[in-house]
Amino acid sequence: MPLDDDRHKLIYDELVNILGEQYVSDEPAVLEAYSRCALTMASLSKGRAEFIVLPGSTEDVQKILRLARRYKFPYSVTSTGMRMYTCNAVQGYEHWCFIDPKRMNKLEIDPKNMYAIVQPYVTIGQVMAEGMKYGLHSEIPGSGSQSSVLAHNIAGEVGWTCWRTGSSARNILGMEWVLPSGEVVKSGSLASPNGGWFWSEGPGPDIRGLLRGLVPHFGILGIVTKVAVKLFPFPSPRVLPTEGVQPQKKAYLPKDRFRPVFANFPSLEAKAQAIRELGKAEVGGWVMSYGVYDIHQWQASSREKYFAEYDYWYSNLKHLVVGGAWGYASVKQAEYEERVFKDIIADNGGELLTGELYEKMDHLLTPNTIRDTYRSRFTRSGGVVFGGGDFDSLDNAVRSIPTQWELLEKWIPPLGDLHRPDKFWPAEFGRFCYPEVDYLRDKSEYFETEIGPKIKKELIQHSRDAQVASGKFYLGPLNDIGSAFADCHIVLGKIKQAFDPDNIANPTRIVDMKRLKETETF
Amino acid sequence: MGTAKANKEAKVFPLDDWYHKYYYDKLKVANGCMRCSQCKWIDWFEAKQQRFSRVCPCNTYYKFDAYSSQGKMDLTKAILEGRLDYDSAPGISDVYYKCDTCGGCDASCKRVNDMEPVRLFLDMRAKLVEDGQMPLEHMMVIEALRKEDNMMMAPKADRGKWADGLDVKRVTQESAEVLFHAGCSSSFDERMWPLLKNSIEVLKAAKVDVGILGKDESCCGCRAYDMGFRGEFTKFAQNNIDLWKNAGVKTVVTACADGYWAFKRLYPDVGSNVQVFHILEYIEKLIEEDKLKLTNRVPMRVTYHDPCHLGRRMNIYQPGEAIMGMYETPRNVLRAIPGVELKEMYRIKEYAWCCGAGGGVKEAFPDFSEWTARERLLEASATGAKAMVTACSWCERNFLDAQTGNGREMEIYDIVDLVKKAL
Amino acid sequence: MTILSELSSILGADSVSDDAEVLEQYSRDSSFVQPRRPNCVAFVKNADEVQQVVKYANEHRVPITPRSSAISFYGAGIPGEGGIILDFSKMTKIMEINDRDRFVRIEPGVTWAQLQAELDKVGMFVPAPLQVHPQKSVLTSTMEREPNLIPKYEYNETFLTSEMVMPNADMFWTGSAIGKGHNDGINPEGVIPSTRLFLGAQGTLGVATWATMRAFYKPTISKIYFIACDKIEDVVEPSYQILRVRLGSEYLILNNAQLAAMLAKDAAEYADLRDKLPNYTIAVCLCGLSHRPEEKIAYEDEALQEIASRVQFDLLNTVAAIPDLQGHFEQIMRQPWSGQGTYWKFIAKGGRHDIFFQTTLDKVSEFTKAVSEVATKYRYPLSDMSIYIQPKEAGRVCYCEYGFSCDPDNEDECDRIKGLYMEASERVFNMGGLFSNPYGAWSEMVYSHATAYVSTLKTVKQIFDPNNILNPGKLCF
Repeated sequence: MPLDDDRHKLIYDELVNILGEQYVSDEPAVLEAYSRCALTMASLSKGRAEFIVLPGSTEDVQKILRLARRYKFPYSVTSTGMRMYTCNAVQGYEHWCFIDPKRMNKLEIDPKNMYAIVQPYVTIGQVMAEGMKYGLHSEIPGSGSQSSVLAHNIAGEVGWTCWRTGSSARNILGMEWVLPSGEVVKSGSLASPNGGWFWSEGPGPDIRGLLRGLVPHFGILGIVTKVAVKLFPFPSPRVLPTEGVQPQKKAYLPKDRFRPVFANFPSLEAKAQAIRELGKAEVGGWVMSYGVYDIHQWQASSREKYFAEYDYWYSNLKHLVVGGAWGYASVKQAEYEERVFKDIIADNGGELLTGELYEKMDHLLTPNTIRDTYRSRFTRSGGVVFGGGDFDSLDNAVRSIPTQWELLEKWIPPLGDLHRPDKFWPAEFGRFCYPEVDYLRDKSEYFETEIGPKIKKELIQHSRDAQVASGKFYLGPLNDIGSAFADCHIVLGKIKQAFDPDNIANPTRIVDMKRLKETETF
Repeated sequence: MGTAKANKEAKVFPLDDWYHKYYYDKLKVANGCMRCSQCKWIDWFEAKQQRFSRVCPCNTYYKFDAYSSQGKMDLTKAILEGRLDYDSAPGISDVYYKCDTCGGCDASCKRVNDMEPVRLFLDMRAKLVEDGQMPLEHMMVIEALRKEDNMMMAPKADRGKWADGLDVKRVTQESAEVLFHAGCSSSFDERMWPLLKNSIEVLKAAKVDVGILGKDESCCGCRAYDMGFRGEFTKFAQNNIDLWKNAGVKTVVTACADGYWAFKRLYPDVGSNVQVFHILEYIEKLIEEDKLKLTNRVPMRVTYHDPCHLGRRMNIYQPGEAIMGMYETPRNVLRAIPGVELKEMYRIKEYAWCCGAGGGVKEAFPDFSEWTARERLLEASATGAKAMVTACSWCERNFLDAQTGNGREMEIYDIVDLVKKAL
Repeated sequence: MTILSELSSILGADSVSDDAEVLEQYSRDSSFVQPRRPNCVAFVKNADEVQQVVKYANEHRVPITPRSSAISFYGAGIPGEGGIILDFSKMTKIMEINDRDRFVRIEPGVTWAQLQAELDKVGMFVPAPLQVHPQKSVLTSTMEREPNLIPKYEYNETFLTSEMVMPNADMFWTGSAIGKGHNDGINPEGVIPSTRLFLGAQGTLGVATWATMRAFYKPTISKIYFIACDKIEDVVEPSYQILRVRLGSEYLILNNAQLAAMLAKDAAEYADLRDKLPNYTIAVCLCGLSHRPEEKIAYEDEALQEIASRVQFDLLNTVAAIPDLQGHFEQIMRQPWSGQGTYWKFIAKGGRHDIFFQTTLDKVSEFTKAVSEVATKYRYPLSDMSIYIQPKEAGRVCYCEYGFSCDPDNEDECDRIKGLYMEASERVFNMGGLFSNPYGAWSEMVYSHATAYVSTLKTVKQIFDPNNILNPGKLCF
C-alpha cells in the first residue's frame, strides 16, 4: 500500500485542504479500525483504506467526490452498523479513501406529517428515542438499533414492524444524493421550490429506482447525504419504561395496547398459512416467523447460557410465529386483534405459548420490536453464513426455505446445526416475505480459506439454478449471477459507467467493472 | 482457537472452548469483536434523547472509529497477530491513550457480546508501558508519583494540609477503628478540602472512631494502573497494605472512587484483607443502623453523576449477570436527605457518561478531558437540576475545571457535602 | 419501405393502421397538450411483437408512443414527435389472479372494468382511483401512480413488478421478476434499476408488456360515515386524528362541486346538488375483514365516536338528506365509474382540467386559498371549482386535485381556463406542491427548477434509449 508516494501525499494534502487536518487520517492505527468486517466471511473484506475522512456536510462530500474524480482514487462510505463488508477497501486498489460520516448526525422530526430528516450518522435508536416523544416509531432492521437509519432504508430490506409498515425500500421520502460527479440531486418533494422533504415520487421517473432494489447500490453511484424517512404512529408511552441493570434489564410496553402472541405450529406450511390468514385479517403491529435460534440466542444473556439453554428452547419451540396485537386506535382494538390471532392460530393447528415460555419471550421480544438492543448477540458464536431465500411471496418462501436447508445442511459440521431454521420476515401483511436461513460458522482461518469459499460458490450456483433473486446477491458482484438474471450486471454496469466513468465509487461491489469490461464493450 | 477442521472431527460447534465457557484471553476477545458498533452507544432501551445517546467519550470526541472499543479491538488484533507495530503504525499509543477507560463500551459489550474490552485495553496499555510507548505526560506524572507519592505532581509534604487544625486522629500515632483515606485529588486541591472535612465531621457525628494518615498517606496507585504502570501500582499497593498493617488498620473508608475501586478490586490480589467502604456506603450503613440522623432540610433539585470507578467499573464480570456497580447507595443516601429532589440524567448507572477525568486523559489530553466534562454538565443542566452531585473527587474536580465561567454554571457537590448540611 | 409496410410485415396488415381517422383519434386527448398525429398505429398482441416493433423502431430511429389506455386525460399518449403508436388494446389478458399471495398479473390493455369484473368473482379488488373511467388501462393508471382511496397502508404503490421491453428491444424484468420466467415474482425490489424507475416515466424508459399489482380482499361488511365541514380548514384535524390511529379503510375528502359531479346524472342535477351539499364532505369507511368483522367495526366505531367527541365533529349517515348515500359510496369506493353517457368529470360543461399535486394535510388550506385566488382572477366561479383531497399513508401526505370545468367547444373559455390552469399550477408549484407526474406543460415548469434531477434522468435515458425513440418530447426528454 503506497502510503508514502507522491500521489498519496497530494491526495492527503488536498483532503486536508477540504476538511482540515483533524478530519483526515492516513495513520495505519486509525486505518486498521476500518479494515475488518467480522460479520461475514473475511474473504470479502481484507483491504485497508489509505485515508479516512470525516466530512461534516453535503458540501464536504461533494468536494471529496470531485477530488476523487480529479485524481481518480476510489472511495466508499459506511456509517454505523454491521455491513462493513459492503464498503471497506479492496486489495489491489490504491489510494482508497474511506468516508466516515460521523460528523453528519443531524436529525429533525416533523411529528405531524410523520417523517424524520436524517443525515447518515443518525441511528435508528436515536430516531426511536425522539420519535417516541410524539408516538412515532421507525423501523429496526436485523442489524439493530445502532444501525444508521439512512443506511438501513437505502440498503436494508425489512425490520421488526415491516408486517405493517412495509419493506424499508418504501420508507424513503425526500432525498439528497451526491452523484460521483459531485453534483447534488434532490428528489421527490425536494425537487420543487419550497417543497420540503415530505414525499418521495419523481418528479417523473423515480430515481429511487437507481438507488436500490433488493440489492442496494452500496455507494457505487455516489453517496446519499440526507434523507427523509417515514415514521409510523403507534400507541407508545413517551419513554420506554425499564427496570434493572443490563443484561438483566427488563423493558416494557403497556399490556393494554401491546398484546404479544407466540405460537408453535406443526410445520412450515402451517405457519405460513397462519401468517397468510393474519394478513388477510390485517391484524398485528408485527408478525414474524422465527427459527428457534433467533429466540434462543437473543434470549441468552451469555454464551454459557446459550449452550446451557439449548435443549430447553429446541424442545419447546417449533415452527414458531411471534407477533403482537397493537391497539393503535384503542385498547379494544388490541383485544379484538388478540382474539383474531388466537382464532387463526387455532384454525391452523398452532399452539399458543403460555406460562414461563410466554414470559421469557415477551420480555425479550416486545420491547425489542421498537428498541432492538440485543441483536448483536447473534454473532457471539463466531459468525453466520447467510443463506437468503427469495424475497417474494409467502408461497415462494415456503418453496425456497427447504432448498436452503438442503444446501447448507451438508456442511454441518463445520457449520453449527440450527435444526432447519425457518425464519422469514413477512412484510406488508404477509404479501412478501424475506427468508433468512442462517447457519452458524466457526470464526477461523480454516473456515475462511477452505470452507467459506466452497459454500459461497454453492450458494451462488443455487441462486443461478433456482432463479432466486435473493440475499445471495450480497455474496459478491452481480457478475457471478447476472447472466441468469436478464444480464442485470450489464444493465447496472452501463448505469455505473455513465454515472461513474472512472469506476471509483466503491468500485468492486455489486458490479465488478474491471471484470465486466473484459467481456463487454462500454 | 479451534478450527472448523477440528470441529468436524470432534462434531461439536464451535470447537473452541472459549465459546462455551468464557475466559479472558486477549486475542480471543479482540477477535470476538463483530464490529456491531454497540460500544459507541448507550443501552438502546434507555435512549431518551438523540443528544444524549452516545456512551463513548473518545469516539464522540475524536470521531475516527479507532477511538472506540471496536477500533481498539481491531488494532489489538493486528498488534497481537504481528500485522502492525510501533514503526509501521506510530499512532498506536495515541489510540490507546485517548480513552477515559470509563467502561461505557464495556457495559455495551458485556450486554451483547459477552466480552470485557476495558480489561483488554488496560492490558494493552501495560504492554505499551513495557514497550516504552506511553505518553510523555504520563511519564512525567509517574516520575512525580515516584518522588512525591501522589498523582498531582505536588510536594509530598503538603498532603496532610487539608486536615490542619482538624480534630481527628492520626492512625500512625493512635489507633482508630476506621481509617479515612483522603486520596490524591482531594488532598492537594483546596476546592476539595470541604469534602474531606465534611466526611470526617459526618463520621464523627455518628460517633465513628475515625483516623487519617495525613502527610503519611500515599497514592492508592489506581491511576498508575489505569495508565498501564503496573509496577508502580503494585509498589504503592504493597506500601499501603504494609502501612495499614503496621497501623493496625482493619477498615478503610474513602471518598475517592478511584481509591475505592483500587482497594476493592485490585488490592486483594496484592494481599490486602482490610474491609473497604466508600464513604457513602458507610453513611448508608450508619443511617440504616440509626447512628446518623439527617434532619435538616436541604431543599435542592439535584442530579447525580455516577462515577465510573464507583459504578460499572466495580463490576466483576460474570457472563450474563447484571453489570453491577455501586448505583443505588448514592441514590439511597440522597433520598435520605430531607428536601433533596433527585432528577436523573439521560445516561446513568451502567450506561452513564464519564466525567472525563479518568484513564490518564486529564493529564495527557486536557482538552478532551474538559470537553467530556462539559458534555456531562450540559446533560445535567438539561434535567432542570440546580446542582450536580457526585461521589468522586476526581469527577468533582473535573466538573469544576470544566465550568465555562459563563454564569450559567451548575453547582457541583459531593453527596457528603449535602449529608453534612442535613445533619 | 414505409413504416406501415415494415410493421405490416412484422404484425400482419390487420394489426397496423394509418387510416386518417384512426390517426386523428390518437392525436389528441382531453388535455391541453397540443395534438399531433402519429404516422401509424400498431396493434400488438404479445411481448414478442412488441420486441420486434421496438427493434425496428430503434434501428430506424422511429418514435414509439405506448398507448395502453383508450382513455387519456393528460397528454402522455399523444405522440409528440409522431412515429408509431404502440396500441395495447389487444393485450387484454388477465394472466393470473392469485388469491393466496394477493396479486394479479395483467397485460397492459386490461381495463379497470374488465379486471374488477373478474376480481368480483373471487371477492377481491385492486384499489382504483376515484371513480376511474372503466375503460382506462389498469397498468397505465398504476404506473402513473394515480392515488387510490385507501390511506390505511403505509405504502401506497399498487404496481409491483413488470416485464419490460427496453428501447434496444432487450427484455428486462423489474423487481423479483428478474429471474427469467419468474412470472410470479411480485417484490418490486430486485436489482437496480428497480420497478420504481419506470413508474411515472410515461413509457419513456421501457414498454411494459405485463405487470403484477396488489389485490386485496373485499371487506365483508362496511359502515360509512360522513363528516360535513364548512371550511377547508375544518377537514384537516379530523383527518389527522382519524388516520393516525389507522381507523377505517377508504377515506376521502370532496368538496360540493366534486361530490355533486360524482352523484349527478346531468348538468342540471349537478347544479342542484352542488348547491345543496355541504362545502366539504369527508367520507370514512369502516370495514370488517375476514375474521370477526362485526367486532372490528364495533371497536372502530367506538374509537371514531371518541375522536368525534374530542375534536368536535358529527358523524353522519348522509349529507344534504341524500337517500342511500352510503350505498352510493359503497359503489364509488370499490368500483370503476359505472354511469352512462358523459363521464362524471365532464358532467358540468363537457370538459374539465385538473391540477393535481402532492402536499401535506396541514398545507391544504393555503393551497386552496391560492388556487381560489387565481380562479377568481380568471373569473372562474369558485362554486364550480371541484376539490378532491386524498390522504395517503396514515395522513402523512395527501393528493390534492382542483378541477375546472369548461366547454371544450368554447374556445374563449378554454383559453381562459388554460391561463388559469398554468398560473395556478405555477403558484402551487412555487409554494412547494409536488407535481410528481409532470404532464404536458408542467414538465417545463417542474424540470426547469430541477436541473440535477433532469441531468440524472437524461443520463439514464441516454443509457437505455440513446436514440430517444420512446415517447420523445415527454418529461425532460
